[in-house]
Amino acid sequence: MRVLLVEDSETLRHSIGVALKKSGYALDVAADGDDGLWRAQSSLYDVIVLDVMLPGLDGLSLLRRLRAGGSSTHVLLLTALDAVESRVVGLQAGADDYLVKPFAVEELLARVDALCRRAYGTKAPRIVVGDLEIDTASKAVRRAGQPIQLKPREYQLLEYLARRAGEVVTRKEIEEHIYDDRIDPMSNVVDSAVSSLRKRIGGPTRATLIHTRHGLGYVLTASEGGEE
Amino acid sequence: MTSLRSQLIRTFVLGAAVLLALGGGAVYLLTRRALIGQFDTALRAKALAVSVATEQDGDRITIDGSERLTRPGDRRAADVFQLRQADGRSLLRSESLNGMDLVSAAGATEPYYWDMTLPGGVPGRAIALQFHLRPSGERDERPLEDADAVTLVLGSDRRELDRTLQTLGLMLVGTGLTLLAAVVTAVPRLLKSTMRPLDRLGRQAAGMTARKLSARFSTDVPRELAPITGGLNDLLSRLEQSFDRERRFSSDLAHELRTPVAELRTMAEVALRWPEAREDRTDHATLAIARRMEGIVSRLLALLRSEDGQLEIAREPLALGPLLTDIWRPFAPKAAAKAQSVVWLMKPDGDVVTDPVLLRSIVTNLMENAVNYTPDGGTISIATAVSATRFDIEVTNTVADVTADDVSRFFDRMWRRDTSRTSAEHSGLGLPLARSFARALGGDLEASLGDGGDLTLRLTLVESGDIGRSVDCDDADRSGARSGDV
Repeated sequence: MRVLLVEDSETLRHSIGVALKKSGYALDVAADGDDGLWRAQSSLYDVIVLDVMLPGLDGLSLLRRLRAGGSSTHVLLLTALDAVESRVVGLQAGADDYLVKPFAVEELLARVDALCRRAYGTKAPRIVVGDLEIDTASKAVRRAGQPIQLKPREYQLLEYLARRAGEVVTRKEIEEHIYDDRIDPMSNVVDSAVSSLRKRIGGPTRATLIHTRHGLGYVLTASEGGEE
Repeated sequence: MTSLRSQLIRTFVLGAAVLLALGGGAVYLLTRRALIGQFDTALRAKALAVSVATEQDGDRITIDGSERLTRPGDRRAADVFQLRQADGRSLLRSESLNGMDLVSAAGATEPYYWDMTLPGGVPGRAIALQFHLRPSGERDERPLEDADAVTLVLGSDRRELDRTLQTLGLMLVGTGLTLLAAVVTAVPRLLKSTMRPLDRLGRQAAGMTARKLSARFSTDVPRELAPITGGLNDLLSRLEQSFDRERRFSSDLAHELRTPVAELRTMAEVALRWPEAREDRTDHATLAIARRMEGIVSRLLALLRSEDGQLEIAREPLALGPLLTDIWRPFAPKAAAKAQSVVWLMKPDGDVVTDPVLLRSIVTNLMENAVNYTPDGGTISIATAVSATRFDIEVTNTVADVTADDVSRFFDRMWRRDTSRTSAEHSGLGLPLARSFARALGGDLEASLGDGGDLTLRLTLVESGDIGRSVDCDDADRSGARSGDV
């Protein structure tokens, strides 16, 4: 899942960035409203974590412009203003959720996770594909009841494929949702990551769940045969 | 609690009762006096008629027509009389007296009247009249002698008079009680109607809260209440402004503190959950946040101390020019880096007497703001004017995008033009603190926007030893507010 964090406090930017990355999110950051709007309009994000009071273009103006441009990306507002009117104004501007500073990092992560689930039309934190189970809340993966340890980026890739289980997911989409803007577009990082993930969740005795569609991308499914 | 309405009702009713009692009493007494006067006049006329009709024939004294004069009326008893010589010997009396004497004061030559009881216990009124007896049937030319003087005492039934007075008294009491009842009934209603605007005022006041201070009392009130509603509305305006300022301050302060608290909490939680992600910058950031919060708290405390008049003022002679150039020194490199022109206008320069620590704090803030907010290539002008009793320091600088509304809020606590409050170097307390220090020194700090878009901050200080609490300038006890950290 790819997240954009727009926050003017360098300390918060760093801390929240660490928390999101460690939780398996691909993260881009912006320190002011203008940069935030440019990034939000240039890339696809699953969730935008947006501070309200920003230098330059403020958070609410950014959000309104984003919505006016037709964007439906889920937005979590962060603000020090806790008055009911402030929350109402934020939600009316098009925000999906609202978090008042100071907040618990766990709560921020839970809200970002909930917004990611909503982005893919599900509310339950559990995704099941065949004998594969993914708990998106605890980031735990089991196959045939056996826990599987994944690196954050691997988990991120698996969750993204699982959320779109049965659909062909292109390399471009994987790049946009799993990797931040520092990835080299010419690299074969996606193929390597898929290959690595296959090994982790597969093994010699288990059926392949991630199938390759040449020229198209990858599909995660339990019922379909196909190329590895 | 005393009720104004009850008090007014009590006063009105008591006042009406007293007035009615006094008025009724006066009417009764005056009427009584007049009626008794009339009665006495009639009695005297009757006595004079008796005296004229009295004749002496030797030892025999007769009253011609006495039966007619003293006969009883329809509702009154017969009059009684007695004729006595000067020595008190009775010459003649009514038969109805049955030998009883009609007592009168002896020796009185003028007629006089008194109340008495007639035979049969009938209340009466009497007159004593002195006259001289004349022989019957002839005109005696000899001069009258005192020895001939006799006193006629004539008593008359006064029950009719008493009945009239009693009727009058009852009428007055009845009328008074009726009027009093009317007052008791009417006054509360009248007061209720008259005091309706006050009730309305009370209801309006009861409906006002700290959150609804924009409401105002109606000005459609009786003339007597107009000064009250006008005064209350003025007070509400001042309260509203004050509450707005305090609300903005609380909100700004909350925001100013929420962000560093959020930073500390997030850093701590991330460090605890992912210890491997901990970096040196985390500790530096923690220290910077702690210092920033410490700075906010110190400035707030200094501001509170200053506003509460708890600052200790230590005045001493200072050379203003060297002091200002010394304060400017640390800012000069930044001004040069921003290609800012600095113009010094110090005429006449001279010594001033003031608190050096507070003055340094104020001027440091003005110069720091000027350097920070003057755009690159702009101009900063520092001017002084010293007179015998006061001195002014003006810092004028080029500004960009500063509005008159911004200037009006410069001295609001925690106000920052940058609503995002991103910069950790400022907290919006510098100028309020500088003004508070200026006022503690008996002066003031004002901001104004010139026609050319230049911003001027003018510090005016008086050189009076009477303002503030002066202490020995060598006093080493410099409180936290005197650290010069503006």
